[in-house]
This record gives sequence, C-alpha cells and structure tokens, in this order.
Amino acid sequence: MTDEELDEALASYEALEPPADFADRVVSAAPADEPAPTAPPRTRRRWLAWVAAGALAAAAATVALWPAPVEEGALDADARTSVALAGRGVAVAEAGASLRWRVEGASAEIEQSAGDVFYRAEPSERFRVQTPAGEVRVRGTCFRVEVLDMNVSPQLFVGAAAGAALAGAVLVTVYEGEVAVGNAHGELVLGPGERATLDPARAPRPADDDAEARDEAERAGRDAPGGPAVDEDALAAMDEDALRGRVRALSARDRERAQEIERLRGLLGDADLQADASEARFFPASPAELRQWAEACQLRVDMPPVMGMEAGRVGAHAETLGLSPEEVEVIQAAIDEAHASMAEDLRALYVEATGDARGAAHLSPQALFAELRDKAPRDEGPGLIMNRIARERAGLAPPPGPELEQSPTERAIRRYASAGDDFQARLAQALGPERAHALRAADGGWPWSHSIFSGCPDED
Amino acid sequence: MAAPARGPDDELDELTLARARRGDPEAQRALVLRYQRPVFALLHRFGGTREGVEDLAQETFLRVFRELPGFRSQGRARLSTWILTVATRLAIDAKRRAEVRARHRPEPPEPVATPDRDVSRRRLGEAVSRAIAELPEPQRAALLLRAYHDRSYREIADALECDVGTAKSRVGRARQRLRELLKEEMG
Repeated sequence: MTDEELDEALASYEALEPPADFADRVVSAAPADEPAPTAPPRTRRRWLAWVAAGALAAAAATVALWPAPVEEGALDADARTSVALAGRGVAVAEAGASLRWRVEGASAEIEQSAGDVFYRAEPSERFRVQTPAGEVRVRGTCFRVEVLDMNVSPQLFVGAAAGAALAGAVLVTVYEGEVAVGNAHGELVLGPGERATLDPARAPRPADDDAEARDEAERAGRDAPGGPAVDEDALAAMDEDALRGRVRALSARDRERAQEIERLRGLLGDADLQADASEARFFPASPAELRQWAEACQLRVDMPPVMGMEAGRVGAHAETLGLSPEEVEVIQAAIDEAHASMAEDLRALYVEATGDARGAAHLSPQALFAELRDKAPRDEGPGLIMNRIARERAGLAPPPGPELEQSPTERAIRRYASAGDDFQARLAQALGPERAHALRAADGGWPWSHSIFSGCPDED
Repeated sequence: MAAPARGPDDELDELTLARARRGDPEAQRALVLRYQRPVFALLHRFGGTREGVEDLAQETFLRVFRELPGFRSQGRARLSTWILTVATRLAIDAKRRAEVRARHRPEPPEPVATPDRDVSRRRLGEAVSRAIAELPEPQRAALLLRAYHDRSYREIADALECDVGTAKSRVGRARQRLRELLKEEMG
C-alpha cells in the first residue's frame, strides 16, 4: 500500500459529529462561580519562573497562573455619572445614587444602597446588585434599579401609587435580557419590559399598574423642565401637548443613555484589544509597556531557537516572516552561530559554577541554563535577578555592575534574556538594522520562542 | 492599536478569547462551537462510543475553560493545538482507566451511520477504524494528530510530551502497522 493509498484509506474513516445542542450543554455545565483569573498589574505573588520547555524550534512559551484581579470602587453621585465596571458592564448612576462594586474575574458584585442606576451588564450569571430589599441577578441585559428613599416626600409620588411605592423599597425595570430578583422570601424572573418591586418584608412581586403609573409620573416630574416635583393635580392638569413633551423628554434621555452606553462599550472593547495586543507582544515594547511589565514583576524574553542540543531551523517561519530564500540561508547561519555561542557561554558558566566540565559537554543550553538557575545564591534568587533586568530595561533601575561582580547564575540569566537582542544585532550585520528590526517586530517578537517570567521577588 | 495576527485565520479571534477567559458564557459557547468538531473527531477516532465521546468532549471543554486563563501567556501556541492536547490526554487517561478495569482489548469505535455512502468506502472506513483501535495509544494519538488534524511534529511532541524524533517515529510506526493490518483485513 502506497502512502497515497493509505492516506485515502484514512480519509474514508469519518468521525462523529457533535450534537446540535452540545455547546449549550457544555456552557450550562460550566461552574458558574469559577473565577477566570488574569494578570493584575500589581498583585503580589510568588515568583514563578517557567522556562519554555523544548524551546528548540517551536514557539515555546511560559505560563504563570495568576490570581483573579480585583477591582473595587464606590460612588456617591452628585450628578449623572457613568462607571465602567472592569469589563463586566456599565452603570449610569443618577444624582443621589450610592453604590459600591467589586469585580473579581468574571464576578461582579454591586451594592446599591440608594438612588437610581441604569445598568448594562455583559452576559454573565455573576453580575449581582445587592439592594436593601433583596438581590438582582443578571443574565446579560439592560435594566434599572431604583432604591426609593423611604423618607422622601409623598409629594414625589402620585395619588394611590404613593402607598405602593413606599411599601416597595426597590423598583427593578428590565429593558433587555433577563433578570432574577430575589430576597429571603422568594424570587421572580423578569423579561424585557417587565418590572418588579422588591420589599424586604415580602417576596418580590410584579409592579402593578398603580406602581407603573407612579413610576412614570415620578419620572415625568423629575424630567419636567419646571422642577422635579409633580403632584396629582399638576399631572391631571397637563394637556396632551405637555404630556407629549414629557414623552419626548423621556425618549431623549433614553437615547442619550443608549449612546453613552455604546460609547463606553466601545471603550471597553478597545481596552480589551489593546490589553490583548500588549499581552501577546514581546517586541517592540514602548517605554510605558516596559514600565508596566517591570511593575508587574514580569520579564519577557523572545529568542531564536538556540536552547536545544542542536540549533533549531528557520522552518515554517520562513513563510510567516516573508523571507526570501537568500534570507532563509542568512538567518539559518545566524541561528547556527547564535546556538554555538549560547552553548559555549553557558557551558563556561556551568563549569565555573560546578567545576564539572565533563557533564557540561553533554548538556543542552536549555539544561545548562536550568542547572545554573537552580544554583543561584541564597540571597539572590533568579526572581530577584529577573526582576532587576526588567527594571533596568524600563529605566527603573541603574545598569548592571561589572560582570566580575555577578554570580554565574546572574550572568546566565542575563545571557539568556539578551538572546533576542543579540540575535537582532547579529542579523543587523547581515541584513541591515531596519530589516532585522522589521523581522523581529513582524510577529511581536522572534517567532521561535517566548518566555514570560512573572512574580515579585520579595516573595521569592 | 489592532491586535497582532495570531496564527491561522480559523482560530478563535482574540476578543472572543479574552471574553471566554473572563467566563463570558456567550464567548465560551463560541469557543465550543469553533472547536467541537475536531475534538469530537479526535475522541471518536481514538476509540470512543458516542456516549463516551460526548462525555470526554464535555470534560475537555470544561477543563479548557478552567485552564484558559493560563493560556493567555502562551504566546503563539495555537489554541486549537492546546485544546486537542487536552482532549488527547483525557482520551489516553480514559482508555487506560477503562483497560485497567476491563482487562480486555478496547473495542473499536462505533462506525458512523452513513447509509448513502458508497459501500466499499464504508467498509474501508470501518477497516481503518478497527486497525487504528489496534495501535498502541501513543502511536494512535500521534497518527490521529498528524493525519486528521494536520499538526506539526513539534506540536505532536508537545502534546504527547515527547521529543520531535519520537513523535516522527510514532507516526511512522503507526502508518506502517496500519498498512499491515489493512492488508490482512482487506486482502
């Protein structure tokens, strides 16, 4: 059987298709409260240095597992204020609203103790608003929570609705999506266009017509050009034109809020993209990024495939980097030279640190580096050295002292960390500095190997 | 600033990935929809019944959700390769557990019902499925990743935690063994 015949036979073996509802089943089985941690810029953590395994030829990588970021805040609004809730949504608080929030990973917990707040929540079951009368749980939606002031003058409310409003301390209105409101007495699920009152003394209940009339009248009064308070008589005295004017005013306010929400959502999206781009890039780095990485105790290293027992190959990256055949040849020669140089330097340092020349001859640069890292002086672990290099790069620490004062471990780490720059300099001689820079920048760093060393040295 | 191009065009876009990482159910759903077919194909060909494949596929994605935050820093590793790696390791573990319990040779996977397909092609496909089920697990995994998922030897080596030479050798030996088994069966 030839290779082609075997490939044809393999192609005849068809596989199962997933059932239509498989994705929904998986998502519904995912734990709702599981954190989705990402790297907070200033969170203290143990120094975890993970060297790219098998950095010979592939895009090797390193990973540090981070605790979930926490963003907390509080607002006592004296004017309409928009708040971006760390990617979980947007709150538009009216004057007089008081809220505190805590966003941790995918979970947003908000405590709204007073006032009127419009929310646009990212789809999640972990977006919760606590009120004095109960809890509002959100499943991707636009909604409003109004915590009614129990001491407010009944003049703010209209006729028979006043009693209902005072009895119901919180009013929840849903514009899009679905919201569950609940307290110790029960729970109610609301869809678009529905509203409910939350009362600490009883189960949530749909807002009845009276409450709705009260709510609209209250809003009409608040939005009226002549002043906030509108009593029943004043409302009854309004002619059709005046009522239409109020409707237009309310609609205009809603449109304004919708535009504001879209703008904030756009900002959030841009922030996501920028964060992702910076997260994925190793080169070039702006001074601000170098500072940000250093302050996050993060050292990023991109390098050619020089850590294996043999030099790596340009391989498939010739295509992704858009290399001519001549450039492939030049770059492969540079890789071979860089590999030989790295092996020689690390072997010398290993011998200096251990006296074991025989052992050094049989170890790959990767193994030599790992051994040297493990032999760091007690008072100066690899984390401290890496952090210092990151700070030097950012201009936050002075340049290193003389090599003679550095331990073999520090020199090995510095040799490793500068491998990307050394390779760029090597290529600049053969291809010119601009081409060398462009090749390294094309994919955000040399494409063969990336490592991120993360963690703060005070916990090394 | 636009996000840099990351890997092949058919990978999940960066923004959806970031949202899935934060636990956004819609983004998680998009991720599953994007990668469910290769995961099912891998698990089925590795030797699973429909029920077993669905269970393992679900476990694969739940593990992916759980470990997705750590994937962010993995630079240019392809998301699809990482997910297939998770699926492969779960499949190997599941097979080993099942074999320890049952102490018998694994059954070949269920053939897919395709009544309108050419009969000889169907017979050939069934023969291939039986032959693949005969392969030792490391060879089977290497062959599947290479033949059906177009992974490089480096990616296979990373997935199976071996060196590139071993990955090549496993694929080569698997193909040779398949030739022998198919020759015996098909004559």
